[in-house]
Amino acid sequence: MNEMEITFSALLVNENFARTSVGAFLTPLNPTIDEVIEMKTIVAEAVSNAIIHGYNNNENCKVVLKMSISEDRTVQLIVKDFGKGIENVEEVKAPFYTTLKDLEHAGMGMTIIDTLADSFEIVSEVGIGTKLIMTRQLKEHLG
Amino acid sequence: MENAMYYKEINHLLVVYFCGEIDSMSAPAYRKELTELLEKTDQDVVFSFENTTFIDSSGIGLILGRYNQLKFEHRTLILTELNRVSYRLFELSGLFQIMPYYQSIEELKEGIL
Repeated sequence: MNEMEITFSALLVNENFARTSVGAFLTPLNPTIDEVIEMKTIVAEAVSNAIIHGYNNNENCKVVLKMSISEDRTVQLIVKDFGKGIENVEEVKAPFYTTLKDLEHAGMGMTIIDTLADSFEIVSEVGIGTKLIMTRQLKEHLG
Repeated sequence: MENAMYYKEINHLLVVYFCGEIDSMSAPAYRKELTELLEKTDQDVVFSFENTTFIDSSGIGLILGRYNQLKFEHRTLILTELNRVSYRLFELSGLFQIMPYYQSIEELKEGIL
């Protein structure tokens, strides 16, 4: 098991840092280009959710990203915030669900994670925070 | 690759090329720039993603927003040259149900001429 954990300010500029870190941590597994893009998309959606919805862009808050890779090439990503939490976790997974329609949010973030990840769990409590737990098994590398 | 957008006219269409990444950091700037650009013209518009390395849901929101802007004036937004992952996400978001898609600019030219 190989693990990493990073904590960063809730600034959207750090979303790029988070997905670049995920891409770099995956490198020893020699993933396909599509796998890297998909993992980066999962983390982008999760981190921007924490910053925009969890923290309402309050840069004094911190987002935690944990990542582990097990022997069988299963990658687990955990993105955690200590923000406002989600009342109804089933509702947010529905396509086109958004609380910020006027800001041109497509309401597809959680649906995209649900599609790209093998498993996706939302643990959230109002006023305490939200934890997104995602796993994805990478294909066996040939050659 | 630096995030940048440029455009040129091809067969009376305004073709916009996105280079680099479209994420929640870059989308608001693109939104402002595109809204102004589309207001200044009356052509149908093509978005090309040949040189786009990353698009997330904020990119999808950006595209839907411009689609609505153009639709109001009965103008069309056409999408081209998506990579496999982006194509899948666009399909999931239902974009191809409301906007035409061509694999390449060449295919688009053949399709509309």
